[in-house]
Amino acid sequence: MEDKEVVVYSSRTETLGFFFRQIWKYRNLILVFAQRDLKVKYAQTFIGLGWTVLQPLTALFIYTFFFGFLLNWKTDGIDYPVYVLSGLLGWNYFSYIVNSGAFGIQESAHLIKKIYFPKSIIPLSKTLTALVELGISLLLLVLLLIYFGQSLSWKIIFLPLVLLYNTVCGLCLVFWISVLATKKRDVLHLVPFLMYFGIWFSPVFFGSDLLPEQYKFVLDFNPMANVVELWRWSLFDFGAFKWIWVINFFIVMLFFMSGLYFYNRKESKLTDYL
Amino acid sequence: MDNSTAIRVNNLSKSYHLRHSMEDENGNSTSELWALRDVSFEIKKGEHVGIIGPNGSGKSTLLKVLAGITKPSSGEVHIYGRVASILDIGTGFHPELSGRENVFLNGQIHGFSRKEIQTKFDDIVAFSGIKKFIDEPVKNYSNGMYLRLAFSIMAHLDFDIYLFDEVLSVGDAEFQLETRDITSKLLKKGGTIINVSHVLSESRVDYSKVLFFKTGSLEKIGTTEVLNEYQRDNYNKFFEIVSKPPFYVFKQIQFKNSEIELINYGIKEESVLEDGLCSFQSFKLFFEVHLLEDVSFTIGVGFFDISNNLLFIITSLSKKVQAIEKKGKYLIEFAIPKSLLNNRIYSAELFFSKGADELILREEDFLLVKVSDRNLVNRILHPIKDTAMLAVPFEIIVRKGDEI
Repeated sequence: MEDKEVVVYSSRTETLGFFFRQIWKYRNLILVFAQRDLKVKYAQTFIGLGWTVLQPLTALFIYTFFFGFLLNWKTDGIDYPVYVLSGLLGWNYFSYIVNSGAFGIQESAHLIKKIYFPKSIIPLSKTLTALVELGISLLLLVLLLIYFGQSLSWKIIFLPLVLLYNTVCGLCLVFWISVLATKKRDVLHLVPFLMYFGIWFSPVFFGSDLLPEQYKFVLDFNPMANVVELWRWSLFDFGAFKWIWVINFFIVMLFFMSGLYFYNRKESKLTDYL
Repeated sequence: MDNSTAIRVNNLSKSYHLRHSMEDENGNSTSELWALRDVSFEIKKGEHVGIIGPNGSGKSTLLKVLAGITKPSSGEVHIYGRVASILDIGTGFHPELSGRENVFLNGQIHGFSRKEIQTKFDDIVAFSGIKKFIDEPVKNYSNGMYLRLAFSIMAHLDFDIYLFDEVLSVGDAEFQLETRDITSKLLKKGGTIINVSHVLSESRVDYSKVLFFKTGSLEKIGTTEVLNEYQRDNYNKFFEIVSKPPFYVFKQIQFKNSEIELINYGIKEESVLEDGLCSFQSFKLFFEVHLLEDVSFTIGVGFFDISNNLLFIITSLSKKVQAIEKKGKYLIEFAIPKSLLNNRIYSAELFFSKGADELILREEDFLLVKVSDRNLVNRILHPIKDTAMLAVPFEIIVRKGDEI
């Protein structure tokens, strides 16, 4: 008789090593779920993927009209539409991960209660979907760059690191929210709130010189403000490099790791609380 | 351990912490509920196992632990092989995606690669019998089509252990026959099947092992004699309930979907003897239903004896009455013919269907009734000293030799 793999279920908390092995074993599902989400999202819409371009494009027009044209916010040498879009890229990517990641487990409750797979697959697959949407928005940015004649900086080679920082910010929140939501469900209500107001604590729409000199440093403590600035820094060499970005990155990493640790301890119990 | 083991469970317990909205006097807002307590057993490869027990006995929790969906609170479970957990038919189906896409999605969620699924794809579609609709979104499927496709996927992918949670008892008769066929094929292939059920009528399935659960503990383990005991137990319970007036008891059911609402039901015009409903008088079963949409609706009641043999069925699908298909309220009365039921206990199953065959509700043991005939004619001197299942009205002519 051939040797089949043996699975043991017990009350022991699985190690982080096991956690990562399970994700590796089920890595295929990350892709499958992401494909499913994209298919469902665009399956029966008339212009399909066009929505992903149309939505930021419309937003861009509105922001440019109000903030750039009516309020005349200064963006230090970059055309306002380019400035806003480059800021929105990072923020929207982050917000997509947090929203869909935090609610994804609830949304997939019907599955989780019936079939075993590591639940962390869900936020990971949402991240993949977010990446696809980010890619499409990037196409829009390219068009804008050509139109406004904006040139790119060599620092674009750091973009993968910026993206990593951006992703970790999102997933860090997702894991912590999932952990805390097992204790108090109210945490989930905080998410839309956080996304709604958080954007105003990051220099997405305005340049940081809009703030009074003595309060500028406040933005530096917000990792997502770092990310938004980093996007522009790496794309256009916009603004000076700040070491606090690096320090914050490691702090966020620390939170991310501890989030993973607690999430792993709670993951098996998630099903019982759904 | 020899390698013929499929599942080994050692001292398994599972408790849930229930959260209350109010704190009790000790300031606790949670309480502990033991869904499983100290359960141990072993299942060999190729066995067909039935897990039985009343609602809330821990059967479904056990299945969830075996499927890895929920973790034990203490104890261990060893699983040797690939597990298909079919706790619900069509889990993981996405309504917006086509049948074809769902076959792949479903297979992949169960851990198969696209390639593995591709090789089985034609078989899956052939068995499901919905080839024509395979590229339609499954939200447009009827329940029956949905069921067939979902079951077909699970049946054709190569698992070692199949966990079924009462899913085999849904669907029409043809489907049930097919699933029985598939089940025996899976067993022949060396698959291990574990089937959870509180439905007694499945008792005729040939289990090689039966686990009987009661309030979270494994009460008995054995072969079909455990099943029989469970049935006797149930029967005794029924007997107690219906042996006092009014000699019948209905299950409390509520049914409402976007099209059909069950408003009321009951028995009318019964006449009661001192030990049961009188069988010389016909009694009437009535149902009030409200159709919220124009929909072709059929109501049916099947009568069973206590060993769960289906005796007869009455339905509203008759050419003699007006069709139930237009929006509005309906009162449906079935008269149970007099002198048909015998001095026995019967159970009745209620079913609703849309059109002629799309089952939308099936309530087993919907009605229990004790009938008395007080008529010795029927009981006369049968060698096994038992009353027949039915007292069928019959005609008889007796002629003496010189009158012929």
